[in-house]
Formats: sequence, C-alpha cells, structure tokens
Amino acid sequence: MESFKVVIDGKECEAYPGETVLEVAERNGITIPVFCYHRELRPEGACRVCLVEVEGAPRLVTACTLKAMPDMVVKTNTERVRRARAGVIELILNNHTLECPICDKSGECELQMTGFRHGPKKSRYKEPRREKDIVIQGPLIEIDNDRCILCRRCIRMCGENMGNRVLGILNRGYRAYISPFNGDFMESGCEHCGSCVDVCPVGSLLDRAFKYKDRPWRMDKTWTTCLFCGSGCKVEIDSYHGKVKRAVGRIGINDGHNRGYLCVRGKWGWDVIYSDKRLKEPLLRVDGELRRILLEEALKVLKEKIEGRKINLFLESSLTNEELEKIAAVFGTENATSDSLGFYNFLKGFEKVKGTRETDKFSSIYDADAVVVIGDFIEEINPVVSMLLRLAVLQKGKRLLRVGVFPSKKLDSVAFSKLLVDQTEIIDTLKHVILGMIDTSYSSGNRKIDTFIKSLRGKKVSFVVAGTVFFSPEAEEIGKTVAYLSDRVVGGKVVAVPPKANSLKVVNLFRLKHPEELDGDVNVVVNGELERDFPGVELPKAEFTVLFTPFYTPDVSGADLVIPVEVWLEKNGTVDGVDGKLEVKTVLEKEFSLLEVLSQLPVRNTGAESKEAEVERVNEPGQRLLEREKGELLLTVLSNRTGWNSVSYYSKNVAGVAGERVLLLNPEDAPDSEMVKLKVGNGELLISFRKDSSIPKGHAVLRVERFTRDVSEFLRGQFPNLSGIRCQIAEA
Amino acid sequence: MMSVIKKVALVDLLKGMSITLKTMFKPTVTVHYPFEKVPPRKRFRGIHALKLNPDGSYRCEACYLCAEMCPSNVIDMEMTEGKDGKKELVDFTVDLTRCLFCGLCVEACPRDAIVMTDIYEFSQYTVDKLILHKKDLMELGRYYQEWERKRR
Amino acid sequence: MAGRVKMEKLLLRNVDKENSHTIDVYLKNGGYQSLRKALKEMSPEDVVEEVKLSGLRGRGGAGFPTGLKWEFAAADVKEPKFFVCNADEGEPCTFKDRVIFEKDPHALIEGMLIGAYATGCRYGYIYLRGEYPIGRKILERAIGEAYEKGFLGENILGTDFSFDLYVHSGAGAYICGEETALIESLEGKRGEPRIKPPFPVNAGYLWKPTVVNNVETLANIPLIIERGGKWYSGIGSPDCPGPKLYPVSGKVKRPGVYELPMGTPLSEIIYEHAGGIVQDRKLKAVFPGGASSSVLTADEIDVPMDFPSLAKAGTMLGSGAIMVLDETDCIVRAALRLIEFFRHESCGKCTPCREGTDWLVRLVRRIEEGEGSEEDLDVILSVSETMENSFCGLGMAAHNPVASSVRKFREEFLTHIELGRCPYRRG
Repeated sequence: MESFKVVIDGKECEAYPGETVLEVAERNGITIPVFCYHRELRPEGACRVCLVEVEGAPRLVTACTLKAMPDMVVKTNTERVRRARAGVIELILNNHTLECPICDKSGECELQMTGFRHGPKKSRYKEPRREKDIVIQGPLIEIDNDRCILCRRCIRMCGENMGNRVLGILNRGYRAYISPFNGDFMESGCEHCGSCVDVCPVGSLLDRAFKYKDRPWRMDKTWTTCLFCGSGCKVEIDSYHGKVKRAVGRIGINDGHNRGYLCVRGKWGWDVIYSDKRLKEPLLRVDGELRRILLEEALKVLKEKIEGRKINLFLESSLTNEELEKIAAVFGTENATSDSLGFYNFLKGFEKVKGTRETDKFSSIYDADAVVVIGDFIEEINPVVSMLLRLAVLQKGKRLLRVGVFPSKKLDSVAFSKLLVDQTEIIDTLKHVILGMIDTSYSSGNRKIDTFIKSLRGKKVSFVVAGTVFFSPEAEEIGKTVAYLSDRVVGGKVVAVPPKANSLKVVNLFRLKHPEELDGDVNVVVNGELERDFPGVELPKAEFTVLFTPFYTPDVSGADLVIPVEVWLEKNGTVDGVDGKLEVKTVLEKEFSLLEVLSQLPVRNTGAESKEAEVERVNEPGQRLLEREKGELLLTVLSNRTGWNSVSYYSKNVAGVAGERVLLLNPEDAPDSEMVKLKVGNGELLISFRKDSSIPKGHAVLRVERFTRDVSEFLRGQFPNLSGIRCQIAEA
Repeated sequence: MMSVIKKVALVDLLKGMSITLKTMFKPTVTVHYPFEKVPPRKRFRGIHALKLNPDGSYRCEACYLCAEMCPSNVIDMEMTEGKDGKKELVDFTVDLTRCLFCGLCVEACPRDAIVMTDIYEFSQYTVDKLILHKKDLMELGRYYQEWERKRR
Repeated sequence: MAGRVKMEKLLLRNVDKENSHTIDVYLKNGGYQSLRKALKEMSPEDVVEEVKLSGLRGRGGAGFPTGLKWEFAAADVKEPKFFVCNADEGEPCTFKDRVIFEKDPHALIEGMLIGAYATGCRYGYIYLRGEYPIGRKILERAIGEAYEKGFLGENILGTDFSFDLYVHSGAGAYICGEETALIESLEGKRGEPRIKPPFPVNAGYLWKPTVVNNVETLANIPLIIERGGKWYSGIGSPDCPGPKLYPVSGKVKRPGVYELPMGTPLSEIIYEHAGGIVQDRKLKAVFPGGASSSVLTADEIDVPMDFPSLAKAGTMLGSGAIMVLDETDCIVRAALRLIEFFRHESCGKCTPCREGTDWLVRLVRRIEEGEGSEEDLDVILSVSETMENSFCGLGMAAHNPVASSVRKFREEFLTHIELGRCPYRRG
C-alpha cells in the first residue's frame, strides 16, 4: 500500500489508505481524547469528544470516523477545538454521578483522565443531578446505569465482535440506558466473556466478583497465561498482598495473541485457588483409611513405592513445560497416557503424511486470504479462538469457510461459506475438496461443495483444526486428510488448536498409549481427574496409586497416596501454546509445588534415552471410519464452556452461570416422552432432553456442566472419543 | 581580698537564693506529667480514629485516598461488598510505628471519616499492639464523639 | 415571476377533486402519462438530465439537488438498488406531505416509478410516519390499484422495467425522518443515524445504493417529465425553482397548506394568502422553516422563502412550515415547547444532542418559571454552540429555536428574569 502525508498539528505524518485521522495521530504520538472509540471496535462517532479541525471543512469533524486523505491539514489543539471538547465533556460530566470514591473503575477510569486533561475547569450546571437509578445485576456482571456515559462500546463489543447481541439500549434520548435485552443476562444468552466489562471506559459495567473488593491502582499486576484451555490467552492477574482480586484481559493493550479477549473461565475462573475443595495436606492410606501426613513422610513413601517399578502415568495437559520435563525424567515417557490422546492421534496422522508433527502458529492465519475451520463447538472448547476467527473476518477481512457437523452461532454468521455435513461424511467431504483443488474441472455433484471449492481456488489458505475433531474416532484419519489437503493448496498452513493448555508439549514429550495398554505396577495420576480427563476409563489394577492433585477430587477415595500441588495461578514456567512459547508467572505464595516434590525424586535413566519410533509415511488422505446403522445416532458429549476443566465445579464465580446437563436432539429424532434412555455399548443414561432444530438429524449432543461418575460409567470404554459415539435412544 | 570576703559572706549564694525567693511566690509552671496532664490544643494531631455516624456506624467508604496520601504508608484497608450491596470495610489498619502525624490523611478524606483525636499516650509493650485495626479505631471514634461533644 | 397573480395549481392539482385518491380519477386527469412518456420515449439518463435541468432541490429540508442525487445512485454498480420515499413527516406544524399522499397518492407513486426507472432501482419503500394510519390505508389501496393496472410489478407497461413498492410504517420516532436513521429503522434496527460517509446513495438499505427522497420532491417529478425541465425551472426563484407547499400555522386567520412558487416573500404568505394575523394583532415572530429553524422577527419577514435567501437571513427553509406568533405569545414559552419536543425525540446516540437538549430544557424552563439569571442566557448560547457538533441534523438544528430567540428577544428573556414570572401568563 502506498502511504501519503497528512499534516496533524503541523507535524507531517505518514498515513495509509483507509486509516482514520485518529489512528494516524495515535501512531504519531498525538493524543486526541476519545470515549466511544476503541481500537478493537467499529468507530461509532457518538461521543463527539474526538473533534478536530480540518482545513477547509466548515464544521469540526470527529477524528475517529474521518478517513485520512492526502494533503489533509488537521489541527487538534486550537482554541475552537479545545472549547468544543470541553463543552462536550461538560455535558457528559453534568449528570455523571460523583461516586469516584467507591467506584471500582476509579484510578483507571477514562472519564476521570479525559475530564482532568480536557474537561472544563468549572461547572456551570445549577440544576439538580438527573439520576438514572437503574441497576441490572447478573450473576457476574452488573450494569450501573447512573455511571454510564452511553458510549456504546459494550454494545458494539457484544453484538458485533462477540456476535451475541445481549446488550442493547432501551428508551431513547436522555432516558436511554444499557440493558440486556430482556433485563436478564442469563435469559438473553450471555456467555459471560467479560469483554463488555473490559471495554467500559467508566465504572458502569462491573465485574461483580471484583465489586468493592479493591482499588485498581494499588494492586500488583502480573501478566500470565491462562491454562484453562488450549487457547493460551494472555491475562493480567491483579493481586494485593498475595491475594488474587481479579483477572483482566485489557482489550487493546494486551500484546498476547488473544489481544485481551477472554472467556468466562479466564475472566472469572481464577477463584479456583480459593476453592473450599483445595487439598491442604498430603494423605496416605493406612489400614484402609486416609490419614494426614507430612510432606517429608509422603516423599519417603513415594520414593519407596516407585523405585524400580514400572509406572502407569496419567497426565493432565495443563502442566508447564518444566513440570512435564521433570515428570518425564522421574516417571519415564514410555508408559503414559493423557487426555490429549485424541490430539496425539490427530498429529500422528498428520505426521504420517507430512513427515513432521510441527503445526503452524495461530497468527499464521493473518497471512492467509481464506481460513478453513474444521471442527465443531470451538466456541465451547476454545472460546477465544473462535472469537479471534470471527474477528479475523470482521476486522481483517479474511474469508472464513467452515467444515463441520453442527451450526455455530459465532462463526456461521460471518462465514463466507459453510459445509455442514453428516459426521460420517466429514472425510469424504474433505476428499471432494482435495479433488477439487487438484483438478479445476472436478465436479463433486454437490453444488455446495463445488462453490466451496471455487471460493478456495487461487487463495492463500490456512486451516484451523479445533474443537470436537480431536475427540472423534476419526482424529487420525482427519489428520491425514488435512495434511494431504494442505499440501495441495497455496499457503497451506495448518493450525491445530490444542484442547488443553500444554497438549503440544505432552504429545511431543511422551509416547502416549491408550489407558488399556498400560502395563505398569504403580498408577501415578498427575493433576488429573479420572472422570473429567479420562471419561470411561478405570484405573488399571496396580499395587499402589499416587495422586498429585490440587483438589479433593472424587479419585482421592481410591488413591493410596495423595500429594497436593498448586494450580496454574501459583505457577511459574512456560507452556507450548498455539502461538509459540507462552509464559506463566505468578506473585503468589504456594504451599506445595509439584516441581519441588518431583525434584526430590530420583531420576530414571530409561525414559530419556528412548527415541520416538519412526512413523511409516503414507501419501494418501485418511479413510472414513465412522458408520452408522439404522436407528443409531452419533453422540457428542460436550463439557459446557463453564465446565471445561471443571472450572464451574471449583470456582464459585463460574458456578453461578454454569449450564445444566441436557441432551439436545433433532425434533425428528426425539421421542414423545419427557425422558430418554441413552445407550452406548453397555452404558445407559436416563436423561431429560430438549428438541433443538439446530442439531442435524442423526446426531445428538449431550451437554454436561461437569463429567460426573454416571457420565463416565456411561461412556465406559469410549476414551478418548467424546464425539461420533454410536448410541441408541429409547423412550423411558 | 574581695573575693575572700565574697566567699565568706556567701554573696553568690544569696544572689541565687534571691531568685529562688522571688519565684517562690509566683504560680508554678511545671506539670507533674504522669500525675498531671496538659489538655492538648484544639487542633492537636493525636492518634487516628474512625469517625462515626450518629447511629454508630462508620463513615468510611474505603476509597483508599487517605492511604494514597500518606507519606509513610501507614494506612491499609480491606474492603468487600456488603450484604446490602453497599461497600463494606473489612479491616482498616493504622500502623502507628510509622505514622508521623502529619494529618494528610484527614485532609484527603472526602467523607470526613478519618479524624485525629487528642490522644498522645499510646505506648505499648509490643509492636503489634501499635497497629490499630478497625475495631480499635471505631472505639477511638466513640471516644472522639464524646470529646467533640465536650469541646462544644 | 407570476407575482401576485393566482398561480396554477401544480402539486395540488388533483386535491380538490372528488375521490382524488383513486386511480380512476387520477387517470382521468392525465395520470401516469409522464410515466408512459419516461418509459417509452426517454432513457434513464434522459430522465436524470431532465430533472437536473429542472433544478429541483429536495423538499425534505436539506435542499440537496435531486438530479445530482439520482446521478450518483445511477452511477453505482451495486445491485439491487432501493428507492425510498421519506414520508416520515414528524416535525411539529409540518403537514404538507400528508396532503399529497392522502389526496393524491398516485402522483407520489408515479414520481417514485420515474425515479426508480431513472436510477435503476428494483424495489421501493414508502417509509410512512407511524401516526398516519389513514395515510397507510390510502397508500396501500393505491398501490394495490397500481398493481392491478400494471403500473407496478414485473415489466411495467410492457418494458423491461420492474418495480415493487411497499409501505413501511414507522414506530413514531421523529429521528427516522433523517435519511440514515430511516434506513436503519427500515432494516429493523433502532432508529439512529449512521455515519456519513458512506452516503445512502452508495451504501444505504442493506448497504446497497438507496435513493431517499421526500414526498413533495417526488410529487414534482411527473410535472417535470410532463412539461419539461425547462418549463419547471422558470417557476419561482431561479436558484431553486418550482412550486412549493407551505404549511402555515399559528396565529393566522387562515392556516393551511398553500402552494406557491419558491421564493414567495414570507410577508406575502402571511398577510395575503393566510389572511393576516388573528384579530389583526401585531406579528411578533415567525419560525419560517419548521420547528428547528431560527426565529425571524417582524422586521425580517420580507425575505423570499427559498433555500439561499433564508440561509442568508440566518435561518433555513427546512420543510417550509411557517409558524406564526403574535404579540400575545411568549417567546420563552414557545422556545421551551420546541426544545422539549427535541429532547423527547433525541435518539440519545451522541452526547451533545442527548445531554444538550436536556440542559436547554432545564435552563429555559427555569427562566420561564422566573427563576433564571442573566448568566443562564450565556450558558444557553454556549451549550447551543456545543450542540453544533452533534452527530446528525437533529442535534445540529435542535438548539436553533432557543438560541435564536435568546439572540433576538433577549429583552423578553431578561423581563422574565427580572419579574420572576412570565409576563404573558394570564391569571
């Protein structure tokens, strides 16, 4: 793009076509006060504070909506501009409540700062203040309309960027106020991502978990990485005197790849560290009963028990690199399983075709013209990734194409084209696309697929694989297919979004097996919960079971030795995230540290030497594996957004918005009764269901807010599959 | 010679005693401190108190401005959301070991919630007793209320 | 200029006839002949040229040349294009459009058809004010008749030109008379103005090119096509020719809608056509262009009523609605009523309009109640200066009645302040 010159305040600035004057000024260090403008949002021009004088224009113009033109002469600091600015700020301040001493935003409030710098020096308002006493309380978000300046950042954030349209304006004129559409957050379908709270320039939208808890300026700010899912979001943790007060994303300031966007877990799940289910002491089973012991004793027992034994390692994938390396050194890498097994299978298939397991960084999608998203329920499993994909379309103009089974509220509305097919036909559909990319005259016989292929041709394409793909029985085959396809398009970057924070390191460090193949003598479960991370798996019979866990999990009752560890907010280290190495930092004190415990254990010399076996290369796409007989449905078991990593179970904040367990069925598949009996293999589950026409025929979705024992027993033998499970339903 | 006479006649002593004699009939100035106390001046800055409303509740809104103003980091507080949805003070600590009684905290307070009493005797045997908490400060507040009423 | 001779009725030519809203009456009086002429004998470019030649300027308030607007829309390549008629006549004392679409709806439909043909629009909407339920019935009936006779629908009059027309009723917001807010409302969103540019002619309804014209503007179109742009440009003042409807209300003997050539002096309208002031009192002030125009004193009423002359006089033609106040009227009270209307109708999107109207209401009300002070007058002027920076026309003009009355009737405001009450209030 060719740049041109714009003169702002006598300074020659370089501008690019399409940029607004405000953006040019910002880049050149000229401050123009703003309220309604936000870097991540579409400009609105509503607050009228960013007025500037343009030579030749009769009126003052808003810098946020004014596109820079060659040879434009802009003045931001003339007497006329200053007076107009002060006039507008005076109008805002006139009826603004003077609650700064108790307002949670005070200290980082944009109205305070702009008011001091550019506002009027004296008030001329003699009328009694107009009160707008409308407070709307949700479980996690509160709207105090008295403090609102109606800049509408929250509305644009919620409606356009997030695609939720929960917030809106009610009434008009001076009586206008912000509200969720029917006055209730839960009913309006709020996903509680907290972005509206983040962009609010004043203290109108409040984080209820932080309300009146502390003052913003006195807290210690630590930038760390959220480990609740594989998105690897950078988040600021504010703490005071070693106690965490809140988590903020700081949209627009955050330099992480998530740019400050968070989900309900990252924003409100921090209080897992204060969960009353936290484990405080090591426990040892003596005569069939768990007794409290000291850490030194526990270590002694542990050393004794693992020495020379083969270990069945059960890994949860939210551990840091340092911890994983230590685990590999202490327990060996050969006889391990993990909740990332599906992801491992996918990468195995990928490697067979590509010859490498390396996938690309998430930011590589910004270089492509078209992004093909393969997978479902990304907004539940990796909420921020689905958000970033949406924003890549809205802000960067990428072409988004979806291949999947279920409709997605967030992505479908911005998708250029979408192929929603039966789950059994995913691989066949991708094969059509491959053929279409090789042969320009190819016709699949399906118009939808043909237009899909057409919109990819000649474009630089990136693939994003995420969501339920890694929990499907076809993970490996899809891996092969995607790798094969990516070699046949321009660009051909593949981003595999790991389901858990450090899945990438786990699959690279360990040779994962299916839990049934483990043949050791001692079970070691690190950071995991069997029901949650290994649904449908029973601990193998072993002499001794060791549990490293931060919480009183249901597994504690079956363990012989339980050693408490820390949760992510208390860790220092690194993780291999979707966008490279990410840093995890803390300022908190911790009582127990996994790393310290492990460093006192002897290092094995077997694990480190064994090399990864060479994979045999194939040069063909994967094969369709899924079949369905008549009367059978393909079941997807989905942990709700709030329940992923059991956040809703351990975090009081998130528990308030956790969804409930429900089975979603296509109206045509649904029986007449209220409850259904769901059958998978030997497992049975009695459950109430809801008819949902967005679920395609022949599929069923079981949403759980947490994997409990009955769900785990129902899924016996299905691990690592949580999607594409053949099931039958019967009236109950 | 003269000096000898002076010595013999105890002139110096008499000179000195004359001053003693002179002041003997004047009123005494010295205060026998532990037994007698000087009432402090009206604007004396003694230890802090949390001023109370007539109904006995504290006025503080935990805005943290006093602590922000404090040059020696004396004040700290903890707050939370009360049951009625109002801001509630959980703890308010004043570390008297560091306080230099400048009174800036009182100046800063937007709610006239923190005040300084006339109490200047607050020595303790242990340091931790010199850290006043919300309870102590409210106790002092009641004292301050009483004192203010008397002063009027 | 025709001067004081009684002018031939052009826009209101069918109004007095019986059942003038039916298509039979309209056809009997030469209706749809212009459409036939445009479709059969003229190319779209010819129509645009003819309208440009006529010098017709939009009658909605801004006075943008209609031919130019159509040219821009015709030049845009995006499809489909939309033709929207702005019949959201929400301003106090404005009732000119109502006469047209209630008494002569087919003239409007014919104007829209010609406009759509010229700009290449496929679909049309009439955005009707929510408070005109009768108008809606009449328009819907007229559209039905036009479909029956083949003037609407596919292949009109045997040509390739197709056009579908719908009536959309507003929900009662004055702001939806602003063209971008109208488009938002048409899309089913909150009626709030959009950022310009892009202008509606390039990105309007559903971000497609959209022409938005006022009812009166469109009613002029059949005339221009029928008798030629040259003839049209000879009527009234040379800068902005044509007949114009002037709704006159207030303290005049004969209030009503008057069709007069553009540029008729205001004094002539008031004293000759509207019959002068009731009970022959003295004229005090006139709002010459609807509620949002600046006030004119009795000395200034010789101004010709057209866009440039009124702009020169420091006010604006707007919709052309003339509000007359006589010597018994309190200007403070009038200003208060008007600014209260704008406070009620402000959409609340931008700060100056939302907060400024409210502050002005409070200030003026205090003065009217006799509790004001002299500084308040300066505050009014400075607030109105800030309101100049509003987002859309509503906020930019809302302060005009108040600010202009403070400037021109400062003594009266001071009397209120000194007396501590309203001197005009009886009892």
